[in-house]
Amino acid sequence: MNLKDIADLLWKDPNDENWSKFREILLKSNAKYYRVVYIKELKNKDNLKDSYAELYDSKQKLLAKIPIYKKTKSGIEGATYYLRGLYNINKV
Amino acid sequence: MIEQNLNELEKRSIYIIREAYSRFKNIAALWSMGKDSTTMLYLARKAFMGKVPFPVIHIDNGIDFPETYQFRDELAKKWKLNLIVAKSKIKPEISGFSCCGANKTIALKKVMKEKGFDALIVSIRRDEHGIRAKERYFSPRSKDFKWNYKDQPAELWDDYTSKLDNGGHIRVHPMLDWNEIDIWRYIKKNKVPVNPLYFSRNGYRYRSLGCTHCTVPIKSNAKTLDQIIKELKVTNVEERSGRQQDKEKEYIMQKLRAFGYM
Repeated sequence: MNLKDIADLLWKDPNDENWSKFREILLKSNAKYYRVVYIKELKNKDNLKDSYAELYDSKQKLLAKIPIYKKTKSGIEGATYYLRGLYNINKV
Repeated sequence: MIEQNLNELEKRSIYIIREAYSRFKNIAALWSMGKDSTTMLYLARKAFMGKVPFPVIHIDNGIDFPETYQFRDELAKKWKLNLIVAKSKIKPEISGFSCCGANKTIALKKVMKEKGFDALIVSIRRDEHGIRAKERYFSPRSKDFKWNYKDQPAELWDDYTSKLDNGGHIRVHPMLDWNEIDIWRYIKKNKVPVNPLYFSRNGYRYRSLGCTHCTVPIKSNAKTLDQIIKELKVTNVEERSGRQQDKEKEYIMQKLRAFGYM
């Protein structure tokens, strides 16, 4: 399974198990940078579903787009914690 | 002169932290993993023989920068911090960018109530924002976290209040007198660990850190501590120019702080 496969899986079901799998694959991948994109203003947690992170390699080639939320028993929560180790390349 | 100034600031902050620790039964500190609160923790370690003796709270909305989480986990382990992660929810409390601030306040209220803290060390500085300039070193908050900035203790001759309202708490502000450039000079002098987001990458760096939603980087080529200090000597741009909540109506920060925001 590569980053694209796990990204697809996360879009279908961003549960704890899939995020753990993502973490393992991310650490073995050549992803180096990330960019977080918010489509809508965050007025409630559901707006997180419209947002995503783009993962890039060292030449800043786009590798995958992933969600930035996790499904939990009580609803959804932010999941940028799983991107630890990557470098931010957000611009103004 | 700069050296003497830094020593004075350090002494004063350590005095306030020690004073707060001795006066309150159950005190905690807020840690955002930014430069100010990390410097405050460094000072607390210096004040108490290398160990931060109180719990450190991170109000986590789940969308902080990955670098921030990594920095938190590494430093908490290295400095043996008693870290409390209080998860905050995203709800339309006020609206727009300010919702983050308001929701962080809800999470803070919850953890304060659960743990029964009677005082909270917060690393705000007077030069950051007009409303923060109105703060006292020991600042009372009511039971529902309200701050009455029109009626505050005078603090003459270092006479700080530790009188609590029924169910209220005291905010302790040991970093009030520091400027942004003082913080960076101190970090450089003492090799205080710092979040990597502050350094320039691809021509951009973060000057003030919030979450991924409300913070944008500024154009900068400062890749080292010396370059950041050099940049700050000549900049005309406000420190929190990359923080969206500060760009809303001028009184929004005043409103947020009156509600209990950090």
